[in-house]
Amino acid sequence: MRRLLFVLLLSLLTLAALPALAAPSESERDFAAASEALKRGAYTEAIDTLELLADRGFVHPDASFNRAVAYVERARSSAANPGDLGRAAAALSEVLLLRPSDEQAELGLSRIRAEISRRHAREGTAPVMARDSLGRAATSLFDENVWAWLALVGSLLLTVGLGLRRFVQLTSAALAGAIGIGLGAVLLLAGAGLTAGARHFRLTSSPAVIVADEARLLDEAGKPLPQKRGSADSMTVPEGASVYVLERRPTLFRVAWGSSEGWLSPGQVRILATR
Amino acid sequence: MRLAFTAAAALAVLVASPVARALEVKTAVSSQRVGVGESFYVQLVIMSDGQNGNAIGDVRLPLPPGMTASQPSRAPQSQVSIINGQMSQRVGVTLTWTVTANKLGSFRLGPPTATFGGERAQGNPIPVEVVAAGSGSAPQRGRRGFDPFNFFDPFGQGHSPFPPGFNFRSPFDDDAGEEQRPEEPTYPDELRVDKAPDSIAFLRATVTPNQVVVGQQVTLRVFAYGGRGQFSPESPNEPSHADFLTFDTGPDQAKAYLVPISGIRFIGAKLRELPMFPLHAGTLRAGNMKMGFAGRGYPSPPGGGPLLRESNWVDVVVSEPPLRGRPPGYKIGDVGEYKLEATVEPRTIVAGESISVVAKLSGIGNVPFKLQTPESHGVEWLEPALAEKMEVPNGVVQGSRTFSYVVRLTDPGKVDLGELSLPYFDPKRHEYAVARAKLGEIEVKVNPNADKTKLQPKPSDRLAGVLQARDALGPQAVPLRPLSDRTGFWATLLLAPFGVVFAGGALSFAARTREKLRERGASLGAQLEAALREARELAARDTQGSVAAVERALFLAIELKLNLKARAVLKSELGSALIERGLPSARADALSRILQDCDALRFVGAGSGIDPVELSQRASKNVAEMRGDKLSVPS
Repeated sequence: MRRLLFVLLLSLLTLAALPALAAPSESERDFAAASEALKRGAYTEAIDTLELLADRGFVHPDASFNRAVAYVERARSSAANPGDLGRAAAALSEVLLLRPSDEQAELGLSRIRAEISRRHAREGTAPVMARDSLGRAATSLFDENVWAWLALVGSLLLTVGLGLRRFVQLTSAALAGAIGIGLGAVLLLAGAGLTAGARHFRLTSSPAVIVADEARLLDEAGKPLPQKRGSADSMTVPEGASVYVLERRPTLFRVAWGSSEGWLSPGQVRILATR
Repeated sequence: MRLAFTAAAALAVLVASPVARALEVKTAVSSQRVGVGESFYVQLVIMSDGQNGNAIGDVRLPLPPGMTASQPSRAPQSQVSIINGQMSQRVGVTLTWTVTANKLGSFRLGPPTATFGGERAQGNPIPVEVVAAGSGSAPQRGRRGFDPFNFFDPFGQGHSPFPPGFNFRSPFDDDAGEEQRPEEPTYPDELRVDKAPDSIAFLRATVTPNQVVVGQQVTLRVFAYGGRGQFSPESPNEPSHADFLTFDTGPDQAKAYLVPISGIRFIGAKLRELPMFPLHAGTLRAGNMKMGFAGRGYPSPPGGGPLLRESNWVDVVVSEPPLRGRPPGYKIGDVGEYKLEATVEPRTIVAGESISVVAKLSGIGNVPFKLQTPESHGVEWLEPALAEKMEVPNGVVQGSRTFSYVVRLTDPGKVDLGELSLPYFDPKRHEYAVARAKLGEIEVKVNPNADKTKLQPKPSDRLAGVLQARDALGPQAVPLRPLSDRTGFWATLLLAPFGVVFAGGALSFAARTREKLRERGASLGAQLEAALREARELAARDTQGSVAAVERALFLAIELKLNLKARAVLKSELGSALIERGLPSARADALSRILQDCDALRFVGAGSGIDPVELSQRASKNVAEMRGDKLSVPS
């Protein structure tokens, strides 16, 4: 009798727990609501919901992707807000950080940037391109862990080479050891250096995208920075450009754009979410 | 009812008399309807700019028959005010008579007169009705809230223009013995300061509240205090408030009070009261207002000009409203308490035409500039025209903004417009709320010219169809923790090769040490030490062994010192050989003697009379001394 009661109680508990297990989370409900709003053309509503999701710390490449869709659609509508395309570019850049293999996001990002450039060109302002600094470009060739593994392999080769040279008296072992030492030292130095560089950039800067129509680089006091080579024009970062935020203050962010550095208003920059 | 009547009667005589250009004269009576035998009070207040002094004389109150009056009491008055940055001071006196009515009827008192500063001041005549005892309306003692003698605040609202430090209490509120009580300070509490930072003059800034959310109102107040009497403010600047949105509260009008601080009577006044709204989160600063104090008691600095003072900074801790419970579409800064109303017209249109939606957002706070408009296919909201009416009653910013939208509807049918909304944070309740206004349905009729009015897609729309929304959240890779963040990565990287190097080095070092030790064991010095030690140890029990060790020690010592293999030299010639090599002759003789004693002990034994212990000690001593001997010829 007791056993029967126990089985019944267990069954009831399981049945009660099933809906909870099957129920979507609050974030999933919000995502679904935003998707629904997108379908009926309520782009601002979808943006508000997806932005709130992001504010709550929910990070998912598909949520970022739909946010990009909402911004693009609003930019195409009569309710377009300045910076919508920049925000779409930021959302797609976020997707690529979270899921580098997302081809649709990569294609969309390139099309959006092309559209921003086209609009700037139509208004008579040629977009200024900026390349990353050499160090950042080198470290970003591969993932940080690739450099770390390279350093580890180099360390192993160097260790084996040194061991052969030191402890094995055979001529062939000495030759193999010398090759191991040379190759291992190069790999270790390069791998460790690039790992350290990538780690430094990861810890000291945050990837971001310009979401304002035009963002003038300022000095620390908030005055526009002059263009390089003595030009009187100020340096302007185009909408949708990738920058790195180096320092955050309540009213200004210090950013690196290519090899240039300057300050921008926080509202002009969207820091990308990472996990 | 009686109170209302009395108030009306008293107000009726509150008329300023146009007596003299510089004098301001007011007359008042506590009651115009009194019972026989009851007393009432008549008051004459005279104020002037004080330029002619404040001497009082020739005080008169003409009385009709049937009334008597006491000698008038005199209470000096002083008034300091700062209006539009200009300080002015007025002085005066309040004369109060206690009049007793002894006869029924209607009478006319006065007018009361007096001379003040050499000028004649005359009040107004006062009509009084004396009725049977018990039906009069003499004032109640101790009553609060209504004071006809407080000319700027007859109903007790607390807006007396006179500096409370100068004001005497109304006689109608005082008990008989109350005049003996010390005068209590009646300046506003916001002017209270426990300790004056400067005994001459200072500015003080305060902000309330000092912990708010972005968009919530705070009020910055700046007060000026002068400890050397009357002053006029010179070149006051605006307090700093770069991180705040401020509301202009109209012209500055300051009221001055006497404020005793640490035993000094300061003239204190509020210079600025600024409602402000923080623009972002953080610890934000405001204040630092500068102003010059000009006046007789305020010394000029060495460079000239008025005495400059600046206020302190005040910090406001500003945070963003909580994420918990935040509704979608909430904009940081939308804080307050709002309601939203909307009207829509017309309700029936033809497709392609527009309707008008007028929404009024009103409430307390910096009323937001943007509403959330409902979106759907076929409904196009244009940018609204905006009208606003903002006010700052009692220092609280409030008002309304009216949004006039033009909404174009392109698809025929019954269109539910949805609702306008504004999510906001209510700081009083510490929670979010949404102001909503339902817009209802619009009947959109089919447009016979639909083809002409249909919206044409933009020919240059290059983003159409580039991105397709995703319906569900797909899988996502678990992020890998970077190897370089793992403890031991860098140690592993460097320790492996360096470990091999260290191990090789350690092995080499060990081998070298071993070799050194071995070499050290085979050296002449080591052999000499070993021979001497052996000689000492064997001296007591093995004479032959000890003798052999002594001989060996001596030969080793000679070889070490002179590089001479002494075994190859005849003992008889050893002394001269040692001298030739530069050893002192005494030392050579001593060594030869030891060797001879060794032979004697070896061959004769104990019979030789030589003690092996003494021999080994002598050998040790000579070997040690020989190490320090200087050679006459380099060996």
